[in-house]
Amino acid sequence: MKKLITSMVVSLSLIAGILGPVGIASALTSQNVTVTGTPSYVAITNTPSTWTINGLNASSPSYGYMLVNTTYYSNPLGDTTSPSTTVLAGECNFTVTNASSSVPLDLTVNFGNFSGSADAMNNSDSGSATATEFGASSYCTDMAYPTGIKTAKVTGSDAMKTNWTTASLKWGLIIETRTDAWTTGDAQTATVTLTATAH
Amino acid sequence: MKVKVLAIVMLVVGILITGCGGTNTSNPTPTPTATVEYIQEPPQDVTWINPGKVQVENFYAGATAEYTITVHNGNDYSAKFIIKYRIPDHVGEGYSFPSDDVSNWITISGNDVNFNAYETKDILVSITMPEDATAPGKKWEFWISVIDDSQGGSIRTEQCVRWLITME
Repeated sequence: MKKLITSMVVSLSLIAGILGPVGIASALTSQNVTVTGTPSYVAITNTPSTWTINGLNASSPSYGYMLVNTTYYSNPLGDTTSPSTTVLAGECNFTVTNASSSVPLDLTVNFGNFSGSADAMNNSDSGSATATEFGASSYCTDMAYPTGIKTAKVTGSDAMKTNWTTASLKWGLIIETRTDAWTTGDAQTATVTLTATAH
Repeated sequence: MKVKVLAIVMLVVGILITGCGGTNTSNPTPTPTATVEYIQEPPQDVTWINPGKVQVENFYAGATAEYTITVHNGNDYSAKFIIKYRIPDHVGEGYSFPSDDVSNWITISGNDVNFNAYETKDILVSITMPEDATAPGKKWEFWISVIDDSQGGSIRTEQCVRWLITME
């Protein structure tokens, strides 16, 4: 009987020794805020840094001027020439370079409102033009056109490219100008932002 | 005889359990450990940020979390950088967008930061959620935007650190 009691005590002690710390650990971790940032670099460059709408190909109609109710592309082959159904690199004016980022990236393009004119266009955020607003989109190499293009909003655009890991990517912009005529002939400018985030 | 058999059975059971739990007893209290990876920095002449993501777990109203992000000026000249909180363009699967008041919870050690050529700086970002505040969701996300304000032209680049918050 004495042996039985000794054996039970030993067994129960061993079981308690195993289970005890696990219970304590659970209680502790539920109280702590943990902050983790795994080292990872996000680094991109982009060229060129300007786009003169209808200013890429001298053979384009009304080259150098932006007309109302017209769709323009940052396509070196023609400012009013749409990309192929599968976008080719030569149809993209911009090159974003993955400058040794250590993680896959998502790329997003936002297109701000124009300024500098009394009747500067605002972004419709729908991708399509209205009487006084422009529509904008972004595209990149190997994207299905037009189904794959992404609406370029002032903020909150969907990613143009996700999980990007190659050394560089050719990309472009589309703008549909407002449908009503401008009341001034003043130049207007807008800023496009290409954003990189870790995927 | 029955008592002896029972005693032997109990001992065997005890030994078996001990054997199975050997790994646990050698490290009875699991301790969260940070993953340290030694990866190569991008070239000096490229602007970069580090890290790409900051994950905050077990966050709750009244709590504070902070992390130091690193920003490098890849220009061969001095440049001002704009470092600010911003609403994400898109969020990870299962994550919510931040509510309007989240911007008031964020503190950045310097919003407009002047960098010398090729200088690298640490920027402390902290988030304090008021005790009476409501979280935007069980899991939510915000971004810290880094823009080189010296960029010319109409097309500029931005790099953002994604902050992924999971509530308690």
